[in-house]
Amino acid sequence: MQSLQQELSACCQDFQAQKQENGLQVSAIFCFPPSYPGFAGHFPERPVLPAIIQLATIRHLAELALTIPLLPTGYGRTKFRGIVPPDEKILCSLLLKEVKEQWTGRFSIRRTNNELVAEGNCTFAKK
Amino acid sequence: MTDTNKQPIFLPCPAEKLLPHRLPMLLIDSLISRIGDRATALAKVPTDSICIDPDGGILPEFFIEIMAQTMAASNGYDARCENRPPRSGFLVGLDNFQLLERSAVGETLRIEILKTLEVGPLKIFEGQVFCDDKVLAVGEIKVWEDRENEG
Repeated sequence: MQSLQQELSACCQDFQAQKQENGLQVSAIFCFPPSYPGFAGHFPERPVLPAIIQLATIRHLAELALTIPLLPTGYGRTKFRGIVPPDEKILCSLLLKEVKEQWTGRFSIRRTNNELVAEGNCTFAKK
Repeated sequence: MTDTNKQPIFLPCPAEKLLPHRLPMLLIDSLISRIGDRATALAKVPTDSICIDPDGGILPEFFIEIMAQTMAASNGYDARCENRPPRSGFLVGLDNFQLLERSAVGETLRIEILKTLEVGPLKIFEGQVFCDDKVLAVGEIKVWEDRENEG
């Protein structure tokens, strides 16, 4: 059976990473086809990308940037403002900083018309 | 025809009777307790779950989803007890979430939630995920319930 994690990479495109004074700015576009396993049963006849997959895209960005597998050890002040249907492109952005052997970040997820879908704070540790 | 949604409901109750989620994204197994502002559910990650990482571990974000589904199951149970349709709920916020420990595939997890605030359609819950007595994850989730069609 397909896994949520394995299929995440296939949905990621246009990854970019840029070192800035205040951290590492990373971004990518994600687009989840109707066949993405996260839509199956969520929900029958009304596929909606689970909010946890929005969060998984941010972790995936951090993993691509740091080239190591990560565990999300914390999320704070995270707001989910919109529903993502199949085939909708979303722009995921993350400003990542290393703090005491962990990485903290501020992320946002937007539609192509710049409408905010989600935002929040995150912390990752090496897996 | 018998309307199964109007039949008495008892705990423990299979989660599929309380939630709109279906496999493979139905991630909790049953609601086992519902008292006051608290609810408890059980979840077990099967070896063929879509939440299994390529390295055989559990997708870290899984722990957030089972808190949210426990809350939804609790709301579904309340609706059945009150003989009304369940309200659609949307996860709108997550705060103070910490993943403290990982669990292995096949272990039974216990999710406990406590409603700490309810203001109109907005509800806030504190959630904890346990494996036996070990706390694996904690967090605060915010849900917005659609009550548009209620009188």
